[in-house]
Amino acid sequence: MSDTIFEARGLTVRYGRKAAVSDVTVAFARGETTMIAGSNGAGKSTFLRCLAGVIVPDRGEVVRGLGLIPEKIGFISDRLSLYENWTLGEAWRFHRDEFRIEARDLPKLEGFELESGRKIKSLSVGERTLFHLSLLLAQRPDVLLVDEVVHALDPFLREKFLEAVIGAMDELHTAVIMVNHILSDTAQIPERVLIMDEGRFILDERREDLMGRVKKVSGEGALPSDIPCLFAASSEFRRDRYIYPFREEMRRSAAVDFEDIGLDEIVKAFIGGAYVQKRAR
Amino acid sequence: MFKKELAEVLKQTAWFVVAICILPGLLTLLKVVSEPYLAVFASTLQAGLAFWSVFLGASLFGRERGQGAMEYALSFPYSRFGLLARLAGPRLIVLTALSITAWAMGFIPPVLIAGVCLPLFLISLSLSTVVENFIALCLISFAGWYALAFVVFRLIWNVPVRSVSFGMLSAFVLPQADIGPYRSSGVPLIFVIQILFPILPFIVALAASFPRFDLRRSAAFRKRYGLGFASCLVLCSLLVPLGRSVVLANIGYKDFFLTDDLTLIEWKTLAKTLKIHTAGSTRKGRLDSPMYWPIWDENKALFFRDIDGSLQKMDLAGGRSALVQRYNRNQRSYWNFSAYESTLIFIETGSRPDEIQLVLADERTNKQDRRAFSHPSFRKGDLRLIGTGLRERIRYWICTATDRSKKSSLRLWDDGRVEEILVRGRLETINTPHVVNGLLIFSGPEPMFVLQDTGTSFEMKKEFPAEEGFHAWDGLLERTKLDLPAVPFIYGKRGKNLARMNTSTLEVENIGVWSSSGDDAWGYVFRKMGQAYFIGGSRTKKNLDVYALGEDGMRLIRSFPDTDINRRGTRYEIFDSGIVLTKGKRTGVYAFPDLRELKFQGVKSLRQEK
Repeated sequence: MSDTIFEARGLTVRYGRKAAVSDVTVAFARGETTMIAGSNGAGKSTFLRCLAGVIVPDRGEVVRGLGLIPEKIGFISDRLSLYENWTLGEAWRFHRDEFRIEARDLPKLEGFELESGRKIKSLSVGERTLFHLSLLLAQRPDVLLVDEVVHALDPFLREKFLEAVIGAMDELHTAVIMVNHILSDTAQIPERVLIMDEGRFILDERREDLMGRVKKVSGEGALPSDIPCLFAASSEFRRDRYIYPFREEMRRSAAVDFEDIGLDEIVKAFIGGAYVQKRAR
Repeated sequence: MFKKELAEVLKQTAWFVVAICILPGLLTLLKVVSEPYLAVFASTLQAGLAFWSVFLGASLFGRERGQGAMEYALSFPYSRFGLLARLAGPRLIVLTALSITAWAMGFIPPVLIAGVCLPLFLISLSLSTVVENFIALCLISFAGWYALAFVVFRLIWNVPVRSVSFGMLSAFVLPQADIGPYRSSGVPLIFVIQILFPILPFIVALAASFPRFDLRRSAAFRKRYGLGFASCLVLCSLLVPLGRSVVLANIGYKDFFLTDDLTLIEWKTLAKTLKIHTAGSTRKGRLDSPMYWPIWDENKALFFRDIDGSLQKMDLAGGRSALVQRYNRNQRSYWNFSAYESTLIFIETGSRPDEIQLVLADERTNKQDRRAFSHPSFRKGDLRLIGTGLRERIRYWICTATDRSKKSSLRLWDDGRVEEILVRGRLETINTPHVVNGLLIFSGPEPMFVLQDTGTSFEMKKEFPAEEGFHAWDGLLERTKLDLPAVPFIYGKRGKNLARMNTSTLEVENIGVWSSSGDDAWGYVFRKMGQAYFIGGSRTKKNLDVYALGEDGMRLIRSFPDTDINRRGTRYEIFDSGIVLTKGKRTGVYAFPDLRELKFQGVKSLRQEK
């Protein structure tokens, strides 16, 4: 437990009668990079806001690990929440004072500079995201909580953003908990993948393990009944079935080709599977 | 964050102050109002400060909401109370500084700050965590303060002392708050409770729920807020009457009333019992409704107003009270009433704003009669009967309607006519009229003048030149009994002299120096049993002297040294039969005409003090 930086115990968050997060217990380790994925409305952002202290859970608690002080938690939400009438200089000075940051100068991400006199509301979404990230990195955070912001960035800024995050992970040993469901650019980053549906984690695996335990079977070939099919995607031209959990002995029992797939497709299969189950109910 | 917030609030408040300075100027320039700039400024500032208090509280998260920074603010590295302190602290500081400055400059009374501005600020601050719509929040803040400060407060204070009645229900639905009895009861703690009570549930609700404040204002958060509010309200409802009893039993001072036959009544505001002291005994009297103020006594009966404003009569021999005239909330009876012969006379509002009804209650037969009168002056509010008489067997009453500093005088004839009493062709006067010996004497800030009743109208009899400097200032002029016998003189001040006016010749002569006690001397003339007295003293010399006024001028009849009337707990009351002087827990009772001291069992006299 000494390596735990955050622990959620029995978290439940409701919006009216609907539970956005339902009795979730999960722990995060120092320096670990975790990707939380899931369908829209699965409760990912609400869960992240609970960790950031922005939402107070209706039940349960978030316990900070030993030595983790609030000033070392960085949170960037998908709403890119900042005082938007302020200039970047004002925002920086304010953030510096509130989070007791020692650095005096406006922080800059390499290859990305903004004038300190510009108002935050005049920034594009991408500029605002990177400026916000620069503020958080100036905190030299132990934990970085990143909501769904990456997909809104153009490829150039997305690269800058990810470079900065990876730099913090390497230099500061920062734990990153990132909510994202488009993993084409970020598939190599996470060490751990969590998939959320209806307020609960339906998957919690190390990325390497997960890659080995999900396979795709293309075509119409029959599958033995003991092979667990997570999700079947059919169209006029092709049929794909996703197998989870896959074991090597399945190759011997079924005369089909089990293909390796990327993290992006794995997440898609889990989300698709969840939708099918919901429709069935 | 504190500094940033303070700067922001100061900037907003500066704009508010500029607006408050400009608005009265515009109103004065455009002649929308006739008062001078400073008077309008004071009124505008008082009203504005109440609104500003609500604004400051309601805008607690205004900047965060307006700039989309709510999530950012909630992610700051401090607790919810830390965040609250950083946001609310600067507001409270600015509001306090502004209020104190306005108070120090004499523009607003401290009671407005403590009783209105601060509660409104705290209520709106508390509600801003549960209500998001700014306009709704402001309205609910005002309504919440009003409801709790007046309605619930009134209910809670009245429930233990009077039976549940329709009157109480109507007070709840349509509050006509009358907090006078509590405010003037002389018990500061009661007033403190009155200020604290309305805000306490809001503060407790905020304290109970704010640790769970977040983006959602979840059901759990609202539930906590509601539970905190309701439980504190219930607790206050239980504690306030208890607190009141404790306060009245231990802290509230005793009041006295001395009857014509030298019976001393000892009573306390809001208490349901009183003590009746006679020369050799003391007994208890029971009141159906607590006494607010005794008015006069007659034939071993004491007439008094109860806390509801109704007129009650206490049988001093039997020790029981009975209702004489119920205060009618719907009719909005006026507080004052008068009497002549065996008739008690009250004024009630009529069916229209310009209509009043005189209620004539015969004390002997208990029969009531009503007369309706209408005149535009009746809309102005403060009505008072100052005289009555008969002309060709028709009864008439003279009344004044006061609108701010202007008085309108009217004669109401028993046959329903309303006669305007005009002075130099105008109905309104600045001076206040008094009826003495069939004369209408107008005294006040302007030079005095006297009208004579001709039977069908009033004619100017004498206008005193400004240099005459005489202003009638005689206790005879402020009386409940309208049918006093004719008096030869009316007394008043003329500079440092005490003077009297002959009511036949209207000539004025000095009879002594009233301010002999020094520059800070005070004093006035009062009438008892047809005799005129002057009571006065000096604040620095701490004396209280009583003079009899007669043909030979002023004659000192008793001096009360070491009597500092500014000192808390020291006060004097003058009755028809004597004077009651109280210093702390000791009381001296002195009977006219020579002010000899009377002894009563159970009353610690002032002499024992020495």
